[in-house]
Amino acid sequence: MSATLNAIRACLDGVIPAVIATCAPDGTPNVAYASQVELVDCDHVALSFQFFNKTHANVLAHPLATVLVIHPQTAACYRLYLRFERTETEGALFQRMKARLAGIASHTGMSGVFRLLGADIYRVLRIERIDAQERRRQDAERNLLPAVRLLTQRIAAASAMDALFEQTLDGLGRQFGVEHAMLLLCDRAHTRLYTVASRGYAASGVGSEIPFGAGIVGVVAQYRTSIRINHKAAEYAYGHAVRESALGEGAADTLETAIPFPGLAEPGSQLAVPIEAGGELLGVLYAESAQDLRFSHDDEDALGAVAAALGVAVRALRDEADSEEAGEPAAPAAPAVGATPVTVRRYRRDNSIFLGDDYLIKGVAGAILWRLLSGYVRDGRVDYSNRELRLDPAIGLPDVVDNLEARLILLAKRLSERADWLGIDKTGRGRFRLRVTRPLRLVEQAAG
Amino acid sequence: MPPIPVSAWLDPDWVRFIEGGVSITVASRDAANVPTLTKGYGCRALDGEHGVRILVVGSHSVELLRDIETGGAVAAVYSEVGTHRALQLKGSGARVEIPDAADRECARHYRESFSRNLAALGFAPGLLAGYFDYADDDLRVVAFVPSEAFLQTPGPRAGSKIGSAP
Repeated sequence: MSATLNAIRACLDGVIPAVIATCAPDGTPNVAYASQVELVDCDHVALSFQFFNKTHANVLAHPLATVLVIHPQTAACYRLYLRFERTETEGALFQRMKARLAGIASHTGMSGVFRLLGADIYRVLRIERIDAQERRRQDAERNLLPAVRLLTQRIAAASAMDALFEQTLDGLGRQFGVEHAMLLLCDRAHTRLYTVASRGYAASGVGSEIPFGAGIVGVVAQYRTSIRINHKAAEYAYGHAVRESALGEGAADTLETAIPFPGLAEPGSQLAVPIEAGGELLGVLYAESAQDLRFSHDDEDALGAVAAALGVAVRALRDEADSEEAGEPAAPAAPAVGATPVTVRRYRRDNSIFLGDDYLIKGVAGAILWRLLSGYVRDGRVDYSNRELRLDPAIGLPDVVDNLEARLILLAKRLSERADWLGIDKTGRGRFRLRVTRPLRLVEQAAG
Repeated sequence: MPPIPVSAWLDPDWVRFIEGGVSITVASRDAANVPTLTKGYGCRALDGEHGVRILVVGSHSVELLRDIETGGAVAAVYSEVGTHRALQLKGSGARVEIPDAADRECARHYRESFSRNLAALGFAPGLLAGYFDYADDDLRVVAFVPSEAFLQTPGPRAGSKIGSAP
């Protein structure tokens, strides 16, 4: 092979459409545009199969095809000689292509016309560079390796999960120039993701939730594959449609919908990668931009490397925080006095919590907060370890609490955004303290 | 009987279309039905046995020109960048010729009109310069008399036949 697929992958981003030639059994050639050529691995590509057309019929009968691609910066042309292997109609690759096709369709005014029926997978037999003479060198591309090195070093060095989240998003901004990003973790049952940190939005959206399968982040979590969309794709952005379809599927009851999801309304580019460690899915790292074609294959690889480091660090810090033994029981805190008492209300049905008349949060984080406030009102207790909280049957959600440390970070952030008199402060590894500076009155209500 | 010219059976709008500043790709196949393809750099639709003449760059198209000369089967797709309006012509008995003065003029004209269309869509001048980086004496002509035309604009009617030689 005179060139490798990876070396020419910029040609596959669809800036200049690829063209595919096939041949019918009677020897009649056919030549057509290919909406999408997806890099599968170092010797396979997948083409979108959208209509039962001549190309598809030809390769079913005679599997050889040749694709012409053009480099979007240098105009260098390559011919890829291919052999058709199979069509996939579900799974990670199919979902990745479906998402990218949605962006291509809206960019080309073909929304509603382009619909992925299958991913036609071809083995690359040979790649031929077409132009005889060596042309201009490729434009100096951004080299992301130094940024990856710096950020993964910082991730490896993090000793607390909240700092890890902040440093990761800071690093994406500073080293990678990513202006809008968020970090979401998933629950143990793999039904939803919750936002633990974000950058570049008017409101942080910490505590907001996304069901598995909804939008780009939900599909990435469900299929555990990275997705990169180069153009606006309403089906994968977090406008009203995605939320409403998610709610229509019966998730509305328990899904955190009162906290708005922070994403851009109409991103031109979206990139999401799964965060995994030890075979376990922990969450999704998501970056977006108002600009089209913002993220390349290199960005996808770089973010994947960052997510891999992040996964190992999140898992280690979670396990460490969970295993820490409880410290000496601290003296009960003196009850807050002086100021007007605040009524904190909990609706048992979904664990939603209101501070006065203001909604705070619901679900797992709501249950945790209620447990802490109850202990405070009853015993004046403010110091806790993660471990005892995890084992506490009063929270009533032990199987759901996947990553207590992350849930506490989310709760602490949400509190810091919504109340100055109530907070959660870290006091050591796997330990924290409830901070209350106004008298409380707890009211529990059965109905929502 | 002389071959039927494409203008006798293809809508004149489509004839103008294939001669305009649209993206062109030409394909053929070898004796083992291995397909190959190359970019076109201009097209003329003439009457009579001259047929359709597509300019290609010889050194970029070694296999295609060999397959045209040995087998003569040809397909060419034309697509308007930006609208995706597209047409495919098919034919047999294609031949390779050396361009005449009118063919060379066609290549110059194509370079201007295709560049203008792409520049209007925001493609960088450097990219266009790269695309048209060939030596004039490297141009060859794939000449054939089309027998069928198919709509290739994406959508439910894509692939439908919109004309054939009577």
